Amino acid sequence: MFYISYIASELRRRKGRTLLTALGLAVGVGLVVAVSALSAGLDDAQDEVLEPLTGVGTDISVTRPIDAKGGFESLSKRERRQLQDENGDARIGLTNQGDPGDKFTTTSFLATTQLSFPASEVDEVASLDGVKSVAAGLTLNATTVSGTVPEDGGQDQPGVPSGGGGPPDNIDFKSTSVSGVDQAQKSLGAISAAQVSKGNWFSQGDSREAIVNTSYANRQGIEVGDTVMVKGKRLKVVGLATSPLGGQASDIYMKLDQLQQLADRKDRVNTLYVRADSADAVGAVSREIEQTFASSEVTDAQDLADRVGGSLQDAKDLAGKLGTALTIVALLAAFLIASLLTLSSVTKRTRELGTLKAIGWPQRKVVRQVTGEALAQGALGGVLGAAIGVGAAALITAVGPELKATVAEATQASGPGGGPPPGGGFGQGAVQAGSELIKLTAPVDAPLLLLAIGLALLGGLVAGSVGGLRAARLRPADALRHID
Amino acid sequence: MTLIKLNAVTKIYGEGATGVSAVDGVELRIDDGEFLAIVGPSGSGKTTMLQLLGALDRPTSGEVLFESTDMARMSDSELARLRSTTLGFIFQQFNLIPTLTARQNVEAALAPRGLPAAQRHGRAGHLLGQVGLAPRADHLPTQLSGGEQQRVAIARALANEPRVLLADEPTGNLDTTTGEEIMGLLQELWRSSGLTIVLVTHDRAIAAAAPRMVRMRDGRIEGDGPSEPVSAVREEAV
Repeated sequence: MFYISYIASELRRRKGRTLLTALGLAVGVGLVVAVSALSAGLDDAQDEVLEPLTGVGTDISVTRPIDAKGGFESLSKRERRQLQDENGDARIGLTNQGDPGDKFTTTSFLATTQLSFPASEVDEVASLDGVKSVAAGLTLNATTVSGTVPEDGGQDQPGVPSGGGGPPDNIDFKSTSVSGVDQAQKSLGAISAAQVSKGNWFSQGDSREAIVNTSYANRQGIEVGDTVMVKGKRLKVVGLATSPLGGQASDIYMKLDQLQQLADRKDRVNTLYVRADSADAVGAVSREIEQTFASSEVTDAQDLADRVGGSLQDAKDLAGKLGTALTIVALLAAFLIASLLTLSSVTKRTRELGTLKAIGWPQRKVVRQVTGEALAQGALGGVLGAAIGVGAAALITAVGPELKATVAEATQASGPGGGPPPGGGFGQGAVQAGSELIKLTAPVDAPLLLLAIGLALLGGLVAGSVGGLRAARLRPADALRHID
Repeated sequence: MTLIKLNAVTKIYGEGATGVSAVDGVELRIDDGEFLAIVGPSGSGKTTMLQLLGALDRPTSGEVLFESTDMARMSDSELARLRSTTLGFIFQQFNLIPTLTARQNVEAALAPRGLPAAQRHGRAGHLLGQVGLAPRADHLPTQLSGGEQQRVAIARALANEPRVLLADEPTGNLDTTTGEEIMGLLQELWRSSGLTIVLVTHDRAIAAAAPRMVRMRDGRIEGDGPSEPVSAVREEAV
């Protein structure tokens, strides 16, 4: 087709104009590619931050907390009774521990503000639409009090120091968070097998085993193969688990039925870990659980995402707002530049276009010629822009700036003892403030490159339409009189 | 047989009091196969006349009849088709497309007809051969002399075997010798093909190549008759 060879000749022999127009579009779409890649990189970084949290396999966690922000006194009678039921053995009568001067050790399991519920609710939640699987968990604070029965014994001491003036000097308190895990559910629960960084997952038998949180293990000097004591029972440490970013993992994980037995909470649990059929179903399942189980608190991944902060979030916000604005402005500027250059080209080629009309080119073919040239420049700009964008993205990935991701503390009351609230977080104990440095990447995929080329072609089409309109309006006689 | 007829044709540029009458009530008849020159000083309206004859412009009033069809009443696309199939143009500035080779410039005139590439290519080569430019077919206009460029323009004008060739100062940008060569080429074409040629020039010596000369002044025809012999024109110039 002559039309094609004419376009090719124009682009080849008017290199300056072609490159200028193509570069104008290229810078615009290159910026789109770079900003989009950066945005995708920020999403990936956020996913990376959330992955350890969601990586436990849980989409939704269900708890039944009581809001005790105002302290025990602020609760209603019913709430107080419920709390006392859950923490009934929190008060330790030292006179019951022996004669004055006797040494004693006693352990109480406190649920603090997390009320328990029957394990049968697992089946009820599992029967809801959109639920793939459910695991139950029980997270408690094991408070061990040890020391010597005082001479003036008879004063009951609260299980935790804030209850009444603090313990006597010869009494030691040790608080350890313990989570009961259904060992059959390797990928759903307070901990998953994937989090075990050293050692193994629980065996399926009745042997007393524990998986210990790495940071707790480090503090206590615990290794795989050692034993830990929970309420006088020896548990063999079979594995160490790494806690997720910001997650206050329990110190010790043990088999659920063994914890229920030790804590005298047979068939009681205080956290349900729910996996939805798909990510899309999470919202609907959350709402359904909230409606079905009164006073339950449902936490999903979005709640966690909302708590991610730090420079990562700042960059994400910046990319979302400034990046979008910058992209729009750059694209508009690119389209404007391409249109102005095409208009200028049409003006410079007035006599040429007039000659085409004089030798019998119908108007539509003259317009097609101008538009075709602009579209070809758009295609070239798209390819160049994609290359610029890929280059910029590669540069960002190569430099790999580090962003700090912070997971803020969950807005939840701590227990009466001032310790971390057991449960109520996401898949783990409570999620507390923590931060992590994430290396930023800027991934570019094929759809993004196609979008870039498409935008450049659109720019070419806009420019071609503007130029074509000008060319269409040229009257041959006037065009031929035009002085170059 | 009358091919083109102008009836009381007026062309005014601008409007109202500021309007300038470039052609003023012109009556003219051009027969099929005629070779005529329109002469006149600058601003006499001769180029406007050529544009009206070539369907490049529409008259303000009057009729421009091509074989009894009023061109002023034809649509833009009908005029484009008429220009493509029946009329050929040669310009003082050659008006070649600078980014296309000599052959492609000739092919540009064939493009609206949608001929296959090979046929278009072959015809362009043949026409360039006719004007003595076959060896320069793949050169760009900037690589050709003025005379060669005008030959390419002539080949382009002849591409669609027009019935009328309209030439606007075809030698205006050429030296005397080259100008004479171009005029010789046009005369040869006229004699060999029976083409109707309308030549616009301010140079009466060039106009003398045409058997008929129409003299214009201030948009009006002030004389229409046989050309003066070239020798008489040259004596007058001396």
